[in-house]
Amino acid sequence: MAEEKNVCKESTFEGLFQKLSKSIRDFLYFKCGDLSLSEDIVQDTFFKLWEKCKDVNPEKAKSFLFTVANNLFLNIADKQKVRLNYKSKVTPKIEKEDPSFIIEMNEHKERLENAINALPEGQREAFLMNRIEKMSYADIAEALKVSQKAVEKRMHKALLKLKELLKPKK
Amino acid sequence: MKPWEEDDTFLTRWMSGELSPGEIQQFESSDEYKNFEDVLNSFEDFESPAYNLPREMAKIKARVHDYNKKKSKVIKLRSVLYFAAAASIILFIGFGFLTDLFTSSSIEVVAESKQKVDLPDSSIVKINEGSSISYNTKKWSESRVVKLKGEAFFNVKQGNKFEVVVEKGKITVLGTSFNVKESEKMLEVTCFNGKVKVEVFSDLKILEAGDIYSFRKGKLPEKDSTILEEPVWWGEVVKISNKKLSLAVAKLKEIYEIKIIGDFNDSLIVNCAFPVNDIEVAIKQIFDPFDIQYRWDDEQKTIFIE
Repeated sequence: MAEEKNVCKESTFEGLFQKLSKSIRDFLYFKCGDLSLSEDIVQDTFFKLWEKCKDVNPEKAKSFLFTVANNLFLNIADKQKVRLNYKSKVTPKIEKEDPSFIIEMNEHKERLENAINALPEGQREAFLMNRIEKMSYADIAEALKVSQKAVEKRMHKALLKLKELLKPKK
Repeated sequence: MKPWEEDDTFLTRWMSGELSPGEIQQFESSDEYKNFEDVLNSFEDFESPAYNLPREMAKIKARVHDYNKKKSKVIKLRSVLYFAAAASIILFIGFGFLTDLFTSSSIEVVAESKQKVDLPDSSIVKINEGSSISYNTKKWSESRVVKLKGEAFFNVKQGNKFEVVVEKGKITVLGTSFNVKESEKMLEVTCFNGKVKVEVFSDLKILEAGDIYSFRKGKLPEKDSTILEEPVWWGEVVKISNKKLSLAVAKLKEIYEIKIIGDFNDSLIVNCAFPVNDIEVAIKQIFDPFDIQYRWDDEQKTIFIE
């Protein structure tokens, strides 16, 4: 059987959606903190992939998707001046129901969210994509269209800044 | 100076486990090591919001299906099999947009009245009054391209791709019979025998014997398989529908007063039409669909079946 040169087969396309749609959603979410906007852009991104399915090699699909998602985001962000308000959805893994403990957890959560919010977009994206999405520096570089070295610097700076922001108050 | 203040990828290398043992030891013994560790651990529990994959998948699938449905209304591609037997094709060729594609060996025929033209490979074109064709004799062996303006009937000998170019598009065959009629507002291609591929803008249709492709500005192309209309403008035509080959042959003999010598399966069912004033075309129309080999002897007015 000849190897597929494009993604026009429905099973191929759906496979890509299954594999990558969440990552792309998260990538967008880390930029803007707007869940429904992120999910809308994901839908538009994959639809674009389908429209152009003839021209996309399955191996290049991931790069194509991130590029399109980023471009769509830039168009919208530009118009709406979207800003991040990242909110984590962590459910603390605690059994205790001690209210003071829960309050403390929530405060802690809020501090983390604020710290993330305070990072410049480039550092925030790289950091979250690596720590939460578990993407490699190389993959992040490809998705953000920067060099791997740039990604590594952003990671370093992000952690440095977060450490400063989250230092325990004395 | 602390290593993470001098080296702007130090922490990155730490996070990915790329520090040397010496670097690690130095780092871990620093005051701030614990702070860095705590920050990383805090984010271990971080998750992105829940993602409803089934719901999102359903959404994209619905959108893709809608899109496909809209697209398929215009195009229905079939696998490309041009045709089995060499049938005669009648093509109408259009002029009006001759380009410098043709060199001085290009021939142009403008028919003041109905005119029959023999192409270099013995394919035949019958041009209607007021129509015109052009083609290139030098390039004929590699590329059989005829430009048409107006109406013509083509009888194409089996061989390389034969293309009829009209203003709106292109008709491609390997050897068959079809009729092309075109004007500013329309294009109509009738396939008499074999298979014909019609390309108009981005629309692609494959016609089989009896199919008519008709394109009128503003309307969707139609495919009509009820009419088997020969070029009535050319002359009289005899239509045979679902009858035995023996009948067709009998008619042929009667009309042209010819003889047939040789054996063939005369109970084959025939669906064709042949002109009453062109014996060669007539013979082709009847025998080619069945791949019956024959030789026409014009002197003796006899068909020899091989």
